[in-house]
Amino acid sequence: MFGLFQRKPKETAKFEVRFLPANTTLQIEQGSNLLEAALRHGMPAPYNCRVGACKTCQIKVIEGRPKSLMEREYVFSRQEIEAGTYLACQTAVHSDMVIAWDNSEPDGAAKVGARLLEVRPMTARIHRVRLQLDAPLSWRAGQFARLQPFELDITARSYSMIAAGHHADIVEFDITHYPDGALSSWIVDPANAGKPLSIEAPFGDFGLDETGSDTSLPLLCIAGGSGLGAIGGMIGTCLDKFSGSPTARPVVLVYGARDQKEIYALDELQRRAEAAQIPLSVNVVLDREPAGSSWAGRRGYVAEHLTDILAEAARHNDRFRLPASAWHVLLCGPTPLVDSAIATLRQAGMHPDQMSFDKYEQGVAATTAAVI
Amino acid sequence: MYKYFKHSYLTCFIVPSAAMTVFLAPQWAFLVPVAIILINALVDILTPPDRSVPSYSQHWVLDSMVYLYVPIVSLYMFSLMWIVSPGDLLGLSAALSSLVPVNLLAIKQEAGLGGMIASTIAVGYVLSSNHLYAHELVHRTTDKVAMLIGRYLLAMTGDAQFSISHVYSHHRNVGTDLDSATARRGESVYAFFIRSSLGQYRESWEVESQRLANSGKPLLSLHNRVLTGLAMTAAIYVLWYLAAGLLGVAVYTFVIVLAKFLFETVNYIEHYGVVRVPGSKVEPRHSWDCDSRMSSNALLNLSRHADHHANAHKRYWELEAVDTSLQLKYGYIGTIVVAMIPFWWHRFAAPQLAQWDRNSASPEEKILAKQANQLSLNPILMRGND
Repeated sequence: MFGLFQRKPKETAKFEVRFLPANTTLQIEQGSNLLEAALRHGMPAPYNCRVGACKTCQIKVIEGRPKSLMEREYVFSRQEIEAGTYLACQTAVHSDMVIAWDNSEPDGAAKVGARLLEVRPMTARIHRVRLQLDAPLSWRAGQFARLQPFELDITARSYSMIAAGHHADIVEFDITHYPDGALSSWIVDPANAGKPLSIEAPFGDFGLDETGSDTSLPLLCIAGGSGLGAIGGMIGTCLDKFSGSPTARPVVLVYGARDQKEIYALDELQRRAEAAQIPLSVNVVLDREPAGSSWAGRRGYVAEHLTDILAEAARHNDRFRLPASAWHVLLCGPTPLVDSAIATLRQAGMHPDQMSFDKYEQGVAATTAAVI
Repeated sequence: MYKYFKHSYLTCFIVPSAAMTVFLAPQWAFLVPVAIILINALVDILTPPDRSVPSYSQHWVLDSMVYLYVPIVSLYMFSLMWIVSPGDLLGLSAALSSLVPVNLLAIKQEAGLGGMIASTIAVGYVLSSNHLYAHELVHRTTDKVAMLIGRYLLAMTGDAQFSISHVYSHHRNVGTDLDSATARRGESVYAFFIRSSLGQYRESWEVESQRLANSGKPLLSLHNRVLTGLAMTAAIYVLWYLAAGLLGVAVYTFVIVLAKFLFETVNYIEHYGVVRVPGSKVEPRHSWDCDSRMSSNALLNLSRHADHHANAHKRYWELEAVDTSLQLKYGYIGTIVVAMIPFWWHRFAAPQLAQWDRNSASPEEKILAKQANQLSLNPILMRGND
C-alpha cells in the first residue's frame, strides 16, 4: 500500500576521513554517523552508550567540519569544544576530515627559547621553577620537556611539566635539587633568573588518557618526591574540569617522601578539591622520618601501605568501594617507588592496562615515561 | 501490511476508547485500567512470544503512530478536565448535541462524584504511557521537533526532566550506584518510586548545570531545560485551574502522581538488581528483557530493553528480543502487578538474579553482586552468597 511512496535510491557524496594515529583513510557517505561508519568498516573504534553521554568515543577533529548530532556542551567544556572535541557516536560526516581517536597532541614536540622566570623553594630540596617561553606550546599534564641552559655545556635534561598548557607561554616544573646535578643546581639558583635556555616539548604519553574510559571511575595517584608536581598538576586539571560534578573522578593520592619537611602542596590540593566538591583522600608515607618525632602518620615505603590505604578510602567513601579493575592508576616518582607500587597493585588484582607511570632516574635526572 | 499497525494499539484503539468511555460513561471509566490489564495479561500469557523484527520501508508510518498519540492523549486529558469542570466547559456538550443525539452534560451530571473519581483513575493510569512515547522521541536528540513534543508529553505528567536524566545519566550509569533509575536489590517499588523520582530530578539538574556552565549561560534562566520543563507543567496546571479551580488542581496532581508511579514501576522492573562496573560496556545482560507479544507491540518494544540499552541508537521498530538470564515472563503489564506486591516480586526476581550472578556476571560484577545481596537483606539473595 505504501509502495507509492517508495523513494528512489539517491546518489550521495562520499568524503575522505583520515583516522589518526592509525593513519587509516575511509570513504564515508555524506551524512553518515561517524562511529557507525567506522564500525562498519571494521575500525576498532571504542564506544559504549551511543547516546552521547559516556564519552567513550571521544575524538578530536583536526581538519574538516563535521555536524554534531548533540549539543556538545552536555559533555564538553568550552575549551574542549574549541579544541575540536566531538563524540563519534554523535557526529555526522559532512566534509573530508582528519580525526584523532585519542587525546594525544597531534603536533609533535617543538624546540623554543625560554627564560628562567622564577624559582620558589617548596621544600629544602624541591623547587618550583617557572619558565617564560619565547613561543607558545601545548602539552598535557604529565608530559615532559627537555631543558638546556645556554651557558652550560651539558646535554638536555628531562623534567615533567606541571598542569596542562594549551597554547601557553608559561611552564612550571617541580625540580629536586641534587648538589652534584649540573642542571638542577643551575636552575634552582635564583641568581640565574632571566637567563636563557632552550626547551623542547612535549614528550611522553604519561598522563590521564580519558579516551575510552569513564571519567567517574576513581583515580589512584602515587607520587614520590618532586613527582608530586606532575601528579598534583594532573589532579588539578581533573578538579578544574569536573568542578562541582557529582560524577567527577574521586581521587586517592599517596605521597611518598623522606620526612615531614618534604611535605608540600598537599594542603592546597585539598582546598581545591573541597572547593570543587570532589572527594580527595590524601595519604602521606615517610621513609626517613626520625624515630620518635611528632609524625603520627604512616612510615616506611609506599608499597607496604597501598592495600591498607585503599581499604581505608573505601570505608570512608562509597565512591571508592569498587573492584580493583575499576581503578585508574597514575604513578610518578623515583624508580624504586614506582616499581614496588606497581608490583603491589598487580598482586591486588590490578592490570597493567590500568596504570600509567613516569619514573625519575635520580642523579642523572633523566625521565623515562611509559604506559605499560 | 499488518506489521505497520502492530504498534498502533494505544494510539488507534486504547486511548480513543478510553476517552470515549470518560465522555460517555464516566462512572464506568474505572473499567479502563481493568480492561487494559486483562487484555494485556491474557494476550501475553495465551499467545506465543513475538520476537519478530520486520523490515520496514515506510518509516514515516511508524513515526506517525508516535506523533498521532500526542493529540489523542491531549484530548483524553481534556476529557477529564471537562468531567471535573463545573459546567459545559468550552460549550462542548452543546456543540456536540447539535450534531448527534447525545447530551454529555446530562451524562456527566448523572455520573456525579463517582464518575469523576473513576475518570481520574482511568486518565492517570493511561497517561503513564506518555513516558513510553516520549521516551522514543527524546532519544532523538538531534530532532528539535521530536524533543519538544516528547518534552510536552512528559510535562503532562510533571516529568519533562526525564528527557535529560534518561539520556545523559541513566544510559551512561545504568546498573551502577550513580543511577537513580536502577532499582537496588531488596528495594520495594514504593521506596524506589520516591528515590528514583527525586534522584532523576537531581541528576537532570546536575547535567543541566554542567551544560549551562559549558555554554556560558546562566543557571537560573529560560535556557535551563529543567526549569522550562517545569514551566510547561505549570502552564498545564493553569489550564486545570481555569477549567476546574482548585478541584482541577487536585485531580491533575493525582493524575501526575499515578502516571509517574506506574511508569516508575516500569523503570523498576527494567533494571532491578542489575550491577555493572562504572564505565564498563553496557551489555544486554544489564537489563531485564521480555518477549511477550502485547508488551512488545503495545509498548513500542520498550520491553526489548536489553537491546535498547546495548544499542541505544536503534529506533523502536529495530529492537530485538534478547535471551538474557533476566526475563519478565509475565509480560510488562503482568509484571507491574507482581512488582506492586513486594513479597511476590522478591520471590520472582531473586532466583533469576542469583542465576545471573552465577552465569552472566563478570568476575568484577560478581563482587558487586555479592555486596548488593548482602545489603538487600533478601534471604534468597543472601543464600546465593554462600
